[in-house]
Amino acid sequence: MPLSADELESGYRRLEKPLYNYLFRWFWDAAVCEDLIHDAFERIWKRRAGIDGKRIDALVWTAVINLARSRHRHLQRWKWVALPRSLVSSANPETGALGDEREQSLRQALSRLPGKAREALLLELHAGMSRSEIARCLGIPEGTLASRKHAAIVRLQSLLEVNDDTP
Amino acid sequence: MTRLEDYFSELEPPHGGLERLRDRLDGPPRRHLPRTAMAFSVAAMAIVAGLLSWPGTVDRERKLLAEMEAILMEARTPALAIDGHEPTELQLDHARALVYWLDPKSLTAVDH
Repeated sequence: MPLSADELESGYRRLEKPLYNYLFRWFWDAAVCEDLIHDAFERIWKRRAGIDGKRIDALVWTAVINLARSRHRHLQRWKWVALPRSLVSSANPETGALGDEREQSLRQALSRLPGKAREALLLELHAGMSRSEIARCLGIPEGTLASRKHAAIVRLQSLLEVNDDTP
Repeated sequence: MTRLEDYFSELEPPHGGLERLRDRLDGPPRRHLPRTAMAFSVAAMAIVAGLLSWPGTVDRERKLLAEMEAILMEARTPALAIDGHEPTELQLDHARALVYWLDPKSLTAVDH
């Protein structure tokens, strides 16, 4: 049975926040995050005829992960022509002054993580899926996902100089 | 001390995301204008760069040819001549001496 508009919309309501949180820790720009989320849902909607409504979560996540990888690669390639920070809208309207300070530290620390480790950590934090589901989305074994997440946490703890409480 | 989870506070996405998605899905398909525009820009830059470098390449090539011609001219040995007359034939005689034969018609009365 093809995906209905109601299923797509309920999927959007359910996944918007976790997707946004995941993407924001990659791009730090609300507009970019929303654009990528909409890209993913648009792709799903265009192929609705062959999509089962029960599988929408995993499909959206897979689409978002791939779109984020692609956008990140693009940004890395063009970062030498990046606009000055003052001209780039990177701030999230939800965060305050303390949030900004923490956000800057986190942003710097995350940028120093290997991409795969960062991806594993952020997905485990925000996807709301089981480890096996995340591993299936990434196409890797669960053990690999766990070790990538662990490596990311250890590196982040040393970069941010925080204690051992894992998120 | 700050914990790692303190850095990952839950953020709220911008309001009205679903409405914007609905508009997007109901609207005409998006065109990738920036990508097309970028392709045109790169092509235009390549053409301009090619045009700008073209006269320079021609000039450089012409200069190199002139230099090469000058070198070859200097290296070329002068034509063999006896009193300004080019020999019509060369022979090696028994004593292994080189004999030059001149065309009598080319000689003037003074030469005789």
